[in-house]
Amino acid sequence: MEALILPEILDTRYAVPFSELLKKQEGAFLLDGESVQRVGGLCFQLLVSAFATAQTLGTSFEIRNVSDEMKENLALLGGDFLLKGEGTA
Amino acid sequence: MSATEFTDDMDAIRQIFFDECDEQLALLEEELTTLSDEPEDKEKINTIFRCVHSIKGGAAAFGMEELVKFSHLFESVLDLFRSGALSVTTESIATFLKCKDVLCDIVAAFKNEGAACEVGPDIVAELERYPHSGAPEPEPSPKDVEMDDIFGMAFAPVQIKIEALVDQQFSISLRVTTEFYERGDDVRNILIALKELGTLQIEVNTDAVPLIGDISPERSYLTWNLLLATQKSRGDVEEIFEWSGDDLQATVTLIADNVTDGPASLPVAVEEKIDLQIKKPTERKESATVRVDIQRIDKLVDLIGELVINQGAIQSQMRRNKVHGDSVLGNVVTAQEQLIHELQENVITMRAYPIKTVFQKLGRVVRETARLTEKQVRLVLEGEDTEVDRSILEKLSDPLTHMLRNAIDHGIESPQARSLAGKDPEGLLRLRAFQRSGRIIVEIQDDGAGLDADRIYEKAVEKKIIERGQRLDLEEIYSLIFEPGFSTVAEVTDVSGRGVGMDVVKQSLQQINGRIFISSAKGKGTTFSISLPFTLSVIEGIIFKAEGQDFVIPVNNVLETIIFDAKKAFHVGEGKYGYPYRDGYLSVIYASDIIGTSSDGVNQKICFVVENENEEKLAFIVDKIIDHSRFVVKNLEDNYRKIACFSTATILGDGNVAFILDVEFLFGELLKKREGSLEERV
Repeated sequence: MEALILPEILDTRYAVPFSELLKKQEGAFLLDGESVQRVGGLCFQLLVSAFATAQTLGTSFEIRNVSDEMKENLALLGGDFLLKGEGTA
Repeated sequence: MSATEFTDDMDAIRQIFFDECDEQLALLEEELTTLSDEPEDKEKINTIFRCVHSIKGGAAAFGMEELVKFSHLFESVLDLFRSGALSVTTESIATFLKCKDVLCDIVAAFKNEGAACEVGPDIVAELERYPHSGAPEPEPSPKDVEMDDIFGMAFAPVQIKIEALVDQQFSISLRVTTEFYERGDDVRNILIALKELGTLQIEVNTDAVPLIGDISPERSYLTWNLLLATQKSRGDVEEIFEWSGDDLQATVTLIADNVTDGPASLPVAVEEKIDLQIKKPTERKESATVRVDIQRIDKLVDLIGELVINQGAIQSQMRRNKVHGDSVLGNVVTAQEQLIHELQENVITMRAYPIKTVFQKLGRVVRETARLTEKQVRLVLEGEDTEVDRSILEKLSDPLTHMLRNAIDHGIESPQARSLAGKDPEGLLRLRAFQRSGRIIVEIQDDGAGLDADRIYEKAVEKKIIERGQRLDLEEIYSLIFEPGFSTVAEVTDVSGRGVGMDVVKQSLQQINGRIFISSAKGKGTTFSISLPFTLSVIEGIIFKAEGQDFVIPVNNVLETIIFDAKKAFHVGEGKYGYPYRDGYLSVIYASDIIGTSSDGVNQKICFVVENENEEKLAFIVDKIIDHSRFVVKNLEDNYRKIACFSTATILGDGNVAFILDVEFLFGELLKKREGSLEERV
């Protein structure tokens, strides 16, 4: 499965295209966070939604190559749980 | 989603931001212009601060660096006043107003994508003269630029209050609304700001988040429970949520003072709370307002217009087929007419805006004109909540701007001249709006030198607008200033006096069915009264017959309808005729005069007692009244050509066109010019 490469800025303006991309992931989510510099509230809740979807369907959710900035941002938003079982850069 | 759709969405969000900017700037102007009345009003200063801060927050989200920088500087100075370190003075208000104008310019430049807008060094220097505001900003690391721009200085640049350096623990329940994101803000910014206050524990509640197939990406689902250990006061914590208004719902509860071992764990024991809610969770007002593209409303107005015409067609067919109004069908049609009437009124109201949207922009015009002319002027606004149809409002700004400039440049005297005349050196300019006889009246009143009738007359002769010796009453002389090319000012100034002003003003107002009247007293001042319709879309009128044709007269101008007795009409000299009315007499106008036909007068049986905005009355004689109804207005010039005695036209139920009478024409040219032929009639 190919990873969805996340852009530098996951802000409000990216929420709609991001949701479209996540909907195309067919239940399993593999994301690459190497470039991510900033995560905003709306994109964060999409990540939460994808995580919840994977749990409901019994499929996988993984963000690999998580940048330090993405880690900080997710922690700030209370989303550490999204990184459990993350891949390494 | 295609790239085009994405761009469209972004444009829409950007447009929302600009709309919000306009709202914030209007509020800013409103608060600043009334600040001198209540300089001690803390809430006013808070509102002013919030306006600037909101603009800054949105601007940062869109990367509008110049706007962020300037609003940040402005906000830093405002914070000195908000914290009580400085008191509001006339001088500081003047500085704030200049800053507001600069903000307007920067926003306008960003609106016109790419238009350059440099902030003048003078205003920056003026702001930097305030203590602390000139302090260099901390160098932000590149990745934190947005964060620092928004929060780094906004809430802590000039912290005056000395807080006890004791940690306190606050439990914060946080919910952000969809609107919060729509206006370009992000919960991330709030959390960063809170984190800067101390140690923050964060727990997100994800229960409401739908699965990915069902989620609406722009809707907000998450809530947060936070535990903050900080040396800052409750006020400092409160401040972070303050400017977000109802878009952010936060409950802050003080859990414990004098915390030494860091924050306790979440969740907080509820029973131990000391309830110090700063803000009760406000009721959601999602249904309070909704932004709708104005074109959709315009389309709705047009469609309802067609519905009204169709309704007229049904009633016309009923009359032809002798279906009575009290029949079953007649009752249904009457009920439907009532519903359409209500629908039309409601939709037209949707398009009405308070006139303050125009008035507030004029504050700047007055300030700049006063500065250029070196005069002192105080602008007083009244009736700003008077509502006017958007289509009228859009065309009102330019004429009012020109008239205000004229009032300052030509009307209000220099401070020296005013002092010599025993007047307050500061001139008064009053802009007032109100409703009268179903129309909107806008008055521009100055307490300046007044119009010089002799000088106007001489200038009109010189410009060959009138012949020397021509007899004119005072009102007619004043009206000469509306003649093309008329100007009494010898030199062309930066402000006005180009000789192309007032005629253009009059033309602009005529395009929106507006009329202008002047009253003036030498040495005391001048009042320009503009009379405007509430809407250009519909008119309530009486349809009447004259010489076999149908016409409409606006019902607002009809004071009374009486049976006309031709024998009572009498000749009063110089081609003028009178008709007894109550204890006096009315001038008479025959409907056939407006058509340009001669009549034997046999069919003229109805007399409308017509009244204009100046409360002048006349008797208007017609053949027959057909009906009283609401008519959809069609512009004559767009569809045919301008006809002097008719303002607009309407389409009747049978498909025929009926002209709508221009009542002012009856009082103006027709009443004065009709001659001779009337003598034969009486």
